[in-house]
Amino acid sequence: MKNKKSQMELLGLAIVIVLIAMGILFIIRFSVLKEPSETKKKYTFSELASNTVSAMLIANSGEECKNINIRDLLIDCAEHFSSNGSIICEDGNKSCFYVREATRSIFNKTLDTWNRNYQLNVSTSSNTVLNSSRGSCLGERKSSLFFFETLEGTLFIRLDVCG
Amino acid sequence: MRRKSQIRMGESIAVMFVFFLLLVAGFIFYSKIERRNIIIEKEEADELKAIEIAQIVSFLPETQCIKENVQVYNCLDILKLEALKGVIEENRLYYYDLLQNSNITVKQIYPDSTSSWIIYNNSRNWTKKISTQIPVSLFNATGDPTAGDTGIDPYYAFGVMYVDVFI
Repeated sequence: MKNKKSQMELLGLAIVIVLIAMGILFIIRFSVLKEPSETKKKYTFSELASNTVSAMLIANSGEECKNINIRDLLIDCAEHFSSNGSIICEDGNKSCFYVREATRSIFNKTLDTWNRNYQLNVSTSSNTVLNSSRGSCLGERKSSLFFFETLEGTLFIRLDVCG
Repeated sequence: MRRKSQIRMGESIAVMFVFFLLLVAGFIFYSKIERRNIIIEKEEADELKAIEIAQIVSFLPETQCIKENVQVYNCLDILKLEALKGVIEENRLYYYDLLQNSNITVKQIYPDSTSSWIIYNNSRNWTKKISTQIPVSLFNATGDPTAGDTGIDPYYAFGVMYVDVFI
């Protein structure tokens, strides 16, 4: 009788210790190992692709290419892809060449400097007008897609900024 | 009998001692965890503050481009930027409520990167700086036909707004 009583007491003690251990495990899992939420990173990441493309497309080339904006240069390049574009800029280069250099210059001073991986693809159904990228894009990505009608069909402009 | 009661009292004291020891250990453990959580929450609050100020600056009516009475998305008017610094200097308290301890700079990137504007500059003693870069369009309305024929075409440039919030 005494033996059974002490055994029951020990069992009760063991159960209490197990419950305390489980409680400590939950606290460690949900409090100590809690990851800080990257609020700012998510915010800038979500806006970067759309802001970059929308600002880039309406930017004018100024004296370099008759003040034509990048969107119109891309459309011209798409419509006259076989001849590298019909618009000839002030330095003698055609619209396709100029627009590639302009986008490279813009991304060099922005996304490249901020160490952001990205993929820019400008294409119609028949041609890839412009393709530019930095690094690999395996993880999360935020995309911005614009499209315009051209004589060669719809021109898609897509920028993926990679997380 | 007396000895038995003494032993019982000793047992009770030992149990209470161990109990209070466990209580203190648990309290120290809990306070260390809570301290870490508070630090994480403070960092998140700081980041939210930086985002709030970046959003306020992005949508300040004093800088927005207006075309035929319609606000242009993600666009800053260069002429307004040039005037804004003076407006901020005259109304420092009002803009401090909005922008607090921060530096706001706009730099033109394309077609040329010679122009930049420091809109707001207020950095006191700080321990942490949170930077945000926002690509924007910059509109130069000089020569806009609706404002008179000066022979200069209006143009949009590509720029970046740098918002540094100091905490």
